[in-house]
Amino acid sequence: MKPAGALPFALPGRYAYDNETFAGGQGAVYICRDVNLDRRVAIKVLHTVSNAASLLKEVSARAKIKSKHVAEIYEVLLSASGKPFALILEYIYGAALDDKASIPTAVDAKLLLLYQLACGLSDIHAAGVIHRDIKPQNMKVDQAGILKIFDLGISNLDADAASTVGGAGSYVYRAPELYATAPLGVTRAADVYALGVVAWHIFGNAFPAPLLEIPPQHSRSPLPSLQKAAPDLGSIAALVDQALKVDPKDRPSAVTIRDALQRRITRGKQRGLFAHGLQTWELSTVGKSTTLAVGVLGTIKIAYDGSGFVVREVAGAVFVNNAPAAVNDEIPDSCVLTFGDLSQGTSRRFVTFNASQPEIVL
Amino acid sequence: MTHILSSANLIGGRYKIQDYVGAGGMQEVYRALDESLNRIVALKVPKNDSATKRFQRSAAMSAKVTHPNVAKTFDYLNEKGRQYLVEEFIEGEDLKSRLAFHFYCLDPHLAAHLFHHLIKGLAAVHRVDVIHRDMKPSNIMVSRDPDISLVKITDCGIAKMMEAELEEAMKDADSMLGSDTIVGALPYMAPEVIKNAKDATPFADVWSAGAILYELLTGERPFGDGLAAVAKIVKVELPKKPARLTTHAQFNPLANELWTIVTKCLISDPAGRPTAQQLVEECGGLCYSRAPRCSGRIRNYGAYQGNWGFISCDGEIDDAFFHGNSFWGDTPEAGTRVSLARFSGIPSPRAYPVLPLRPEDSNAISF
Repeated sequence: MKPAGALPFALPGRYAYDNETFAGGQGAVYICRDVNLDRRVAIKVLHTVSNAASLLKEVSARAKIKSKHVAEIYEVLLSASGKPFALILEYIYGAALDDKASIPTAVDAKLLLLYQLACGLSDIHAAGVIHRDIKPQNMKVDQAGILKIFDLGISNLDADAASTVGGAGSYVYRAPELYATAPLGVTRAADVYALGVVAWHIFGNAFPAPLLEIPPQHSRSPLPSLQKAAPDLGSIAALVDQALKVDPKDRPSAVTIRDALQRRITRGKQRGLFAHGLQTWELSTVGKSTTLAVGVLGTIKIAYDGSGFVVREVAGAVFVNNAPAAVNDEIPDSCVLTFGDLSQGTSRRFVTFNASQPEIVL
Repeated sequence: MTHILSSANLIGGRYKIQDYVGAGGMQEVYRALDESLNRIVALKVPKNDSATKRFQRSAAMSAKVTHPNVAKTFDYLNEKGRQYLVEEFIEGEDLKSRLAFHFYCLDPHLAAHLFHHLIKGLAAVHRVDVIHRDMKPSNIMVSRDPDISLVKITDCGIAKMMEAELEEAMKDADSMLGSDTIVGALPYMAPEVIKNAKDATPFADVWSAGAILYELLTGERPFGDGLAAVAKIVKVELPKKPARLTTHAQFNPLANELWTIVTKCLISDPAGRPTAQQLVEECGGLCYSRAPRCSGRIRNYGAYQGNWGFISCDGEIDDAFFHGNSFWGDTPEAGTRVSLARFSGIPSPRAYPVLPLRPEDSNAISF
């Protein structure tokens, strides 16, 4: 940020310059006030007018994406000759994520941050767009706690990705395949790689050496698992390791990472509810189990392991949604437990089971 | 009926009017194409003098709120003496019409989900020191899917526009019932606001949210409508806990938790109610099912000497089994439209929860 005097271009009357400028690679961002709506906006101006195509590309990419995690574009400013030269963008208060102070310290909050990035990236990819420059400098958490990704300036559509490797990615976040002498083009997997590096930025103290090589991991000295830096992550660490694979084909999709994070965040917070008539029994503590015994008909012991409800013991004739219950089976989130087989007729007993969990509402 | 704008009007050199969408008490709403950014937007125009006077301030209020559960404000412009507010266009319809034409009420799982999103949005409104003042189902936009995946509060800035009309209308019963704005808002209005329109605080919005949650769970407004509602609200004659909330064991714990939230919101003393943020935290701990739902029709019930039957589901080959206890309504009947989540089972998938829907042809009535 640097204070600046007069703007190097004419601003429409509804915007008033706030004397704050951020220099970027492709151009500069000026912070202004939108007088009509009494709010701050960011005005992104490119260095050269010949970059008009890049602005329009950003506009068309944004229009395709439906996501709460991508910053809004409000207006395209045209020069006197009718060429687009600037974008009026949503202004997001606070520091970008490259400022380590903006990274939360609690593991749960870090997981939620990475989850939001995975949601945003899933939305971007679902629209057929590749961001191509995922890095902490291009994301902020707004005042409502929503992670917003910005700078779609060099994003691309899937369809024409192969032709345009130039300029994609920033050091450390740039995927290995983008350094190849005959690069194969930027795919979604390059965004996923960048997400993996952002995960190291969020959870680690420093990047491991192989990530800092140019191109990354070319010396083939093994990349340590994120598990080393963040022992509480469990399966998420393995998934991040997978996202950092040198071969793009080995990396998971953003959706896979998003769904795994969602399960991780709600882990241990589920509620299992058994009901028989108006009687209910709850099972919601990790490691605890519920044993249901119906006379001579049968007995079943079901445990909550933090991610699901699992059969631990069965005796007699017990069925789960009419299939014989078996030890180690995870029971469906909604099912009926039947005690006694068909030959027992009306003396059979039925207990319903329903599992539910908190919803992550951002 | 004539509207202020007609289709093909181009506003501000970039918004091409496509369709008239509807009108609230204060403004008309159109669907427009933003030709400059190539996206569909909602364009609002003030309807009367009192709305016109405060329209820009109201737009600025809306623009302060940025949250996924609140409609986004894109633009405000004044052209040839006429004012326009441009907002995110939400694909869906308002909750009032969904309750009137699609649902009778919502089962506790769906109600918890909707309320969770609603209260998140409201907390974001309050965080930037805005009071909504007109929280009611017609100001809440929802998607048309059986999961109600999208929930957005609209008209956050309406408070500014309503001030004048409220003060005028609240003088006596006649003028009150003569105002569309007031009649629609009354069933959800907090007692202190009925007594003095100037007494609205964020806690008045919390009251309204509680009244909405009651309606979601039961299909009825907690205090009824019109003047009869006024008397009951002022005396805070809380409705009795509906029997359905206690007779369905599988829904009981969640239904009880939601009922507790309703009673906390509908406390006479505003200071005794929770803040929206406290409710957000409470909702964060609620367990409810978000298993994807489909719609279908009950094929039979009780046909095999038991409280169970089968549902033929749209787009699925095999019918789903359901038990009467999983049905969030009175007695299931063959032919009833329902929404349900399906779980694996032998020989048939199992349905839970099963929520009755209004007959399809009632969709024809719309406004």
